[in-house]
Amino acid sequence: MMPREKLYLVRRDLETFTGPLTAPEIAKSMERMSVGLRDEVSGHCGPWVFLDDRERLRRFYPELLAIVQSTAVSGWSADVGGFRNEPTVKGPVSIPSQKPARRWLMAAAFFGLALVAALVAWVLAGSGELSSRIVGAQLPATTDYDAMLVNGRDQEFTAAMEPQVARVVDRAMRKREALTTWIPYLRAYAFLAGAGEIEGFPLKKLRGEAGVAAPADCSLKSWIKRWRDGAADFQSVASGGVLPSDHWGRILAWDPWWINRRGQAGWSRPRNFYQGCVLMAARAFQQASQQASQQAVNNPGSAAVRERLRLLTESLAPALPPAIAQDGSRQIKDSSVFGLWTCMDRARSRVDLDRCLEAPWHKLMQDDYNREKFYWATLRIAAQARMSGDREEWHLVRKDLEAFLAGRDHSDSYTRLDYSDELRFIGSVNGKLPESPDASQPSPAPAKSTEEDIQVDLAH
Amino acid sequence: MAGVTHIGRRRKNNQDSLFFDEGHGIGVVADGIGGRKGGEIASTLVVEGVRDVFIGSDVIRHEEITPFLASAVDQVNTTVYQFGRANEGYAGLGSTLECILFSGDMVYVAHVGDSRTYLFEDGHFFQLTLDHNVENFVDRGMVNRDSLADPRVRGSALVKAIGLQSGCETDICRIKRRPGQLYLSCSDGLSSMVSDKEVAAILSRHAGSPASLQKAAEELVDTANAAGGRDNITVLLARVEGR
Repeated sequence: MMPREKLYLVRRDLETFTGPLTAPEIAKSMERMSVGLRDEVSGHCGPWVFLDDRERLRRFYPELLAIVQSTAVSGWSADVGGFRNEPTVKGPVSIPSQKPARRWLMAAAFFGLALVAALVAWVLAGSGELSSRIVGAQLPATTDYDAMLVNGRDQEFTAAMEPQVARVVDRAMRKREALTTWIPYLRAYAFLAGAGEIEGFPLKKLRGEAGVAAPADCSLKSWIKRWRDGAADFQSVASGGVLPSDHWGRILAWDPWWINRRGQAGWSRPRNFYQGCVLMAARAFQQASQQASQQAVNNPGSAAVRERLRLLTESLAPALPPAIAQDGSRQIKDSSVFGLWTCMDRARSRVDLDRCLEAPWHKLMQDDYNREKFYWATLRIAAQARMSGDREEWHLVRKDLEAFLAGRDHSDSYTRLDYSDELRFIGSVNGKLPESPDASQPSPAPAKSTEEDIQVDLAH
Repeated sequence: MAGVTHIGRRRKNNQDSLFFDEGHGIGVVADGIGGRKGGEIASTLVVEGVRDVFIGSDVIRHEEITPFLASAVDQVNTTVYQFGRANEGYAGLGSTLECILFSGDMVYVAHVGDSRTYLFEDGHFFQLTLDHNVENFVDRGMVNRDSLADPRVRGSALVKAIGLQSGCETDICRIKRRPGQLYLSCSDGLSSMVSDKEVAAILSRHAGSPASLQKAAEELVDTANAAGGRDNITVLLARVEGR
């Protein structure tokens, strides 16, 4: 049967589908940027084709090619200032003329200038700087990117940033104002769909200064190496063996609630460097597992690692982490130490948390660090109880917390995540808890406030 | 829902397995690999494993379905993998998996291997899943193109299957459920013998009434057999009612 009106299904990341849509509906969706060039399209009994693959689009769905091209062009006209309706340069005609000889002189001067300009352009083009120094005199407005980021249209954002990145990096490296303006977008570009690094942009700037407990380099390639190097230890660690002093072990122990509460100036999505690191670590693990040459990553412990990474990634929500918002009593099938940490991260009450002490994890709770992590989870429940006004829950956990905190550092001994802000918050609403030994020492002068200042968002 | 599994015309046993439960809104198709006995066992372990995990679980929230499916497939993978390691003579056994799950206003598909799930809607027929074979992975840059230069590697060779390794990445996709939609999950015994257009034509003839789902499934199997029936054939059809 031949369908009356042609319909197309749009696929994103092999995960979600939009449609079936007619060709005009695809055009509208592209205008609204709910469908992007990196999405795939399929027609009736047809193959899947990426919308940015002109050759295959022309071959299989030529009726869509014009739509995609015109939509892409009209979309860009708003962003790329200076290309459309640019005022034309008036020629010699507009110059008040007095004598023929003088007109000749002016014309010669004009052509001379034009020749010099062309020469400069040619030289710069040869060094790859033409687009950034001449064509890119004006950077696009950031407001359109904001809408994409806020609405989670990550693919459209990346596709829109792609042609601009070299110019943006060039400008950001030369002018501090440009860096301040563009750093959230560069970070979003690097971490949402990129490889955690941008050519020509220093990793140190991409990272910022606040993510002190995170690795200095959270690029995709560095994580692939970490997973590959650590693969031999997955099973041992999952079974409760010694925790490695490597970043791959630490990131698995990261507390999603802690991460999601840290908002950093200069970050949009991800919200901070920690979130960016988690995204890169999860993506790298997936890639390392899929690459035929890295089968070593796929060993008996890898399923537990993958599951833990999945929880961490899912928890990177703008508001309440969904994994934490879920029912803490839901059964977790993973009996490894990573399952235990997941159990603690998901607990919403002390009763939930106590379930993590039972089988299959009761033996793992003999480990010092797991007991410590139990109390950091208790601290979170205490803070959440205070925020929701649940005094009963607070009284249940207060004594345990006091005993745990007495005389100890307020940082997680393995991940180095610092809970001082959480403790201050609890103290401010409910009276003091024991102070860290360091707190009795004279405080150093407060550091100068920078664009990287971290804000702990306890309101969520 | 309706389903048929058939040995085909060339094979000595049926290594495909099928399970569906309309009440729970779940259906599973598995196509075993790894020798005569191994393939049969692997596909049975897969459908029974998914069924047991699903039926044995508590109520699942919508936002938990993707992790649930991933975890279920992980468990099933471990079961098949360990079976292969523990039983001499079954080394290399594995299976494909198509699991279709209806929940709320969404339809979820968990997919591993080269069995397929299709959507038939408004007379249009779309393949939802990507075959996990070398050719597709090379196309998408997930496997080095040099792999195809090796004459021992066929483009259709599976890159992923349940039970081959200790871990298994699953494709999990979701699509909005709408009345009138018809979902088809099948083993490659159908998709390699019958063209998408022929399948779409058969489905469009039977799209009208719920009673004809079973007839449609049987006609699909008959058509595959008429074309040679070189492999086992399994077909699962699920229609979203309401129109």
